[in-house]
Amino acid sequence: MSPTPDNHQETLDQLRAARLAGQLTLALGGVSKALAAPGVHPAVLAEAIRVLILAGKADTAARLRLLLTGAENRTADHDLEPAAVARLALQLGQPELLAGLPAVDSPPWLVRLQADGEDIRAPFAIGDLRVTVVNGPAVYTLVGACPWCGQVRRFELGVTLLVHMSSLCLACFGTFELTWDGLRTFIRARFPDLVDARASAGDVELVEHVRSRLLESDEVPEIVRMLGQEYLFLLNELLVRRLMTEAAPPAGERP
Amino acid sequence: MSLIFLNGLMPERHGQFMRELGRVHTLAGTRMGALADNPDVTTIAYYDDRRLQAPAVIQDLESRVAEQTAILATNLATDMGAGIQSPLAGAPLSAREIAEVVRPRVARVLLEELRFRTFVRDHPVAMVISGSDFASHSRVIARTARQLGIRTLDLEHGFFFNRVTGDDCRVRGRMPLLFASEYVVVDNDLEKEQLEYEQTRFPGLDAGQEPRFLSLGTPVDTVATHALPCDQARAKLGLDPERIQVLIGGSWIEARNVQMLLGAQIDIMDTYEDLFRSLAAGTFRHRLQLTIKLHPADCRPEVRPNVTAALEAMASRYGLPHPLILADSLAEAVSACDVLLTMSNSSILYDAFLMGKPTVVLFPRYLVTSDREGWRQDSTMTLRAGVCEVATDGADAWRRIESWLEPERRRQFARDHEAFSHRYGLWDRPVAEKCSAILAWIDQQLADPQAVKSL
Repeated sequence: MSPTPDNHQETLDQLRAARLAGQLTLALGGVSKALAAPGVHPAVLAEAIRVLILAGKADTAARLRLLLTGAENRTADHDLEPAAVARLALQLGQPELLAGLPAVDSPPWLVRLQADGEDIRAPFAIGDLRVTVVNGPAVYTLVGACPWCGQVRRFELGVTLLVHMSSLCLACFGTFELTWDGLRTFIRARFPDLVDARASAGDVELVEHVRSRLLESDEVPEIVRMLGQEYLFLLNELLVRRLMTEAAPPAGERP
Repeated sequence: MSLIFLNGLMPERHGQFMRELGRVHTLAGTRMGALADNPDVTTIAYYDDRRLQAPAVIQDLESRVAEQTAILATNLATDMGAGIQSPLAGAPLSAREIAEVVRPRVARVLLEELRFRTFVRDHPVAMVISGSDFASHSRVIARTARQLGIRTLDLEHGFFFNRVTGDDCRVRGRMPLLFASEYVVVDNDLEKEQLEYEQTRFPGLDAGQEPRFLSLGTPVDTVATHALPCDQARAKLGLDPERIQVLIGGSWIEARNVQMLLGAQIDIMDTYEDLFRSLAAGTFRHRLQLTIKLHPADCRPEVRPNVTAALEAMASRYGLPHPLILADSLAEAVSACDVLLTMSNSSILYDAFLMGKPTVVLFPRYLVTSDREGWRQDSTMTLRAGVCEVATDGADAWRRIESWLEPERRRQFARDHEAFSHRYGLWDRPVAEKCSAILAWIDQQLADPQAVKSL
C-alpha cells in the first residue's frame, strides 16, 4: 500500500478491500503506512478512521477525525458517513456527537439509536456452516450476513461452537451477536440428520465396518495403517462435508 | 551412549524426563524446545525441509503422493458408504475432495516418513520414544521406526483411568486405540489391566505385533499435588472458604465420528445449560461456588474469550453468578474443590482421585452409546468401586455432588478410595521415580540385542 498523494486511489481501494474482508490486521498495517506519508488524502484519512473504529481504536480515530475535519482539500464526498460517526461517538462515550446526524439513508440500527437511544445487538444471520478437521479438532467456517445491512461476513471458529461474541458490521458499523444459542438453533434447523439419533446410529455402523476392515482384513494398504485413527477422522470429515452440502438450501436462499 | 529419537514428546509436559534421558544419551527429536541449548545434553538437530529439496527426492515424493492418494481415495470411497444412510455417502470422491482433504494428508504423512528415513540413514537411532503414538502427530515416525527395526516405546499420560472395559461399549461402535510402538508405558496397573483386556477383545492392526504395556509410571507432572493444601489453593484463587467448591473440568471434542463434528457441539451446550438450569432451580446454589477449568484446547487465544463469554452469558440467563473460569491454575483448582464434575472420561478424574476428591461424570448425549440400564456402571471399574459416579442429567449431577458431602458418604469414599488405590497402585509418585524406572528399562533394552521386533 504505497501512500503517496498521486496514487491515493490505490491505497484507498486496498484499505477498503481489507476492511470489508474483515482483515483488520492487514488494514491497520496499511493505515500505519498511509499515515506515515506526507499529504494524506482526505479519502484515505476517512478510510483509516473507519478501520480504526472497527479495530476498537476510538481515541486514535477521534484524533484523525479532527485532522479530516480540518483538511484543506476535503470535500463533502470525503466526510465520514453518519453510521461511522455514530459508532465513534458511542465508543468514545460522547452521545452528544449523535445530535444533528442525518437520519436519511441511515442503517436501521442508527435509526433505532436516534429514536430511542438504544444500540441494539441483533443476532447474526447465519447462512451457511462448513467443517474441516485439522489434526483432531474441527474448524467451523460460518458465512452469514449483518442483520442490519446484509453485508456478507465470514467467521472461523476453532474447536468449539460454545461461543458468545459481538462484532461490528464492517460496512454499516451496526452491532451484531454470534451466540451458542443462535448456532444451536441454526444447526438443529439446517442439519437435523446430523445431530439426532440417526447420526449416532450411522456412526456405530460406520465404525463397526471400518474396525472390522482395519483389524480383520489382510488387505489394508500401508497408507491407511500409517493414518491409524486419522483414517476414521478423514472419513468423518468427508462424510460431514457431503451431508452438510446435501442439507444446504438452494444457493439463492443463502446470504 | 546411544542416540534416542523423541517423537512428539512435549518439553512442557515431558521436560524432566527429556533432561534426565539427555544426561545419559544423545537426543534428537521433533520438539526439543530449550533442550537443544542445554549444555548438559548432547543433541543432534532433526532434518528440516531443506534437507529434502533435491530434485530427485522431490520428484519421487510427488509420484508417491499421487499413487498413495489414489489408493487412499479408493479406500475412503468404499468405506464411506457403510452405515450412513445417504445416497451421497457412497459416491466416489470428487477431484475437489481429493485435492482439499485427501492429498494434503497423504503428502504430510509421506513427507514425515521420508524425513525420518533420511535422518536415520545418516544417524543410527537406537530407540524412538513417542508421545501418544495412536494420534496423527507421532504415529508415522513410530510406525516407520518399527518397520526399520528400531526399538519403539510410547509414553501415555494417565488418560485411561476412567476407561470403560472392552466388554461393553467398546464392542459396539468404538475403535480401540491403535498403538504403533512395541511397548507402551502407562501410569498404573489399572490402565495396564484395562488396555491389556481391550487387546484381548480386539485383534491388532498388525497381527502378532500388538504392543506390550508397562506400568512404569507416566513421567509427567500430574496435576495433583499434596504440597498445595486446599485452604491455600482457595486463597490463591480468591474462592470463598465458607462455600462448597465445585469444579467443572472442561473437555474437547475430536472428530472421532460424524456426530462429534456437529451434534456433539450441541450436546455440550445442552449439558451445560441443563446443569445451570437445574442448579438455578434448587437451593444448593446458595451454598456452592462454581469454578470451570477450560480444556487446554479452549484456551487458545482466539478461542478462550468467546468460550468464557458464552459460559458467563449462560449462567446469567439462569440468574446465576458468573462462575470462576480458568485457563490455567489446574493444580489450584483441583486442590480447592470439594467435588469434581466432568463431561467425559477426562484425565483430570485421575488427578482428582490422587487428591482424594470424589467425582461425578455427566455424559453429554453423544457419549451415551448404550441404551442398556447400568451398562456404564457395569463396565467402568471406578464406578463399580464407588470412587466415581455417573449422573443421568443436570439435576441428578447436583444431587450426587450434594450427597458426596454427607459425612457418612465421605467416610465410605475414603475406605473405597484406599482399597482402590491399593488394588491398582494408584499413588502420586514423584516424577523422578518414574523417570528412573523408565531409564532403567531403556538401558536394559538397549543392552539386549534380541529386543527388537520389526513389522
